[in-house]
Amino acid sequence: MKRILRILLIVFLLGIAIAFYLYQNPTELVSTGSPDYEYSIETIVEKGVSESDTLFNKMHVGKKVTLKGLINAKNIQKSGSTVFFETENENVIVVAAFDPSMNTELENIKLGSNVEVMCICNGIAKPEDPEDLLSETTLSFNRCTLLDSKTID
Amino acid sequence: MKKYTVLLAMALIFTIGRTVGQTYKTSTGEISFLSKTDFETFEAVNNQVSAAYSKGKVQFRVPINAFIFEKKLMQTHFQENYMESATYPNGSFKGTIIYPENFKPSAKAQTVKVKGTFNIHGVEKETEISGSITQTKNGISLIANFSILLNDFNINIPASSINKIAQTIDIRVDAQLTKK
Repeated sequence: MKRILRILLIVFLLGIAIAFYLYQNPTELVSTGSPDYEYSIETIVEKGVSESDTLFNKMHVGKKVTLKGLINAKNIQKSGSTVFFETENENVIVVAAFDPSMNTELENIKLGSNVEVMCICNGIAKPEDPEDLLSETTLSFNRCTLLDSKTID
Repeated sequence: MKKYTVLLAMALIFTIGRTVGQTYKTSTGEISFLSKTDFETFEAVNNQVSAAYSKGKVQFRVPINAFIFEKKLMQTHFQENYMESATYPNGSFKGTIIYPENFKPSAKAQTVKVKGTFNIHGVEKETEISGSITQTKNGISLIANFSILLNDFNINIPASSINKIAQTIDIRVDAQLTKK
């Protein structure tokens, strides 16, 4: 009986320790591991524009996605940085956000560089009606990491 | 002399007209929220807010998945269980400035009252929020502080977490918009 109680106590304490560990585990601010999807900017823009946003979001939100494309703008801030990809469709914005720990790497990238990033997808947002001030379709990503970059001369 | 005065007046009207009618936008605005109870305080920040201002109209859209929490477990619960971000990936607000009447941005920060509609977690709710708008060198600064009630948007918190998450969440939006 004593032995059973001792085992139960150990299991209980282990349970508490695991729960505490899980609870204290910090959020991953940079995407790591294998991607769920791999796209070029052209492909994901085409997919986002042609598919229903509901379908696209069900499939992609919260998933790891690698993106390959040209950077045409960047905004580096202490609180975190964002880069904008060049798209053939001027009504589509593709924006990827990075943790401040990536700032030095981003500072070294020239506009017009071809990059490969891995991010978590936030989904697509399309204008709800013709009167919308936010008239562009936005594809946004966060917690990105830079996998590769090449400057195109 | 009269001719120059008329030309100057026309140029002034044209310039003011352009400023008033101009659309200002950003995709990198910041939103943060605070949930505070006796047991726990949660904060999350998101710097991917799309916001726009034009002719007394204000709009912002927030990708829910871009909120970053300190703790992974809270991040997962927030995205998957409370906000169901794969189904409702964006929260939004669309409104019109009702105070002051005939609002025009100026270099001095002006307190404004905006009447509009929130769309969060698939639920639409009309409300009024307060904020301040300032004309800056590069565009317009838009700041708003307001609270939302989770029940209003069918955001259900399980009984096990009810003491840890506040029913009223304090929200701050800070967006620097530029001419588009």
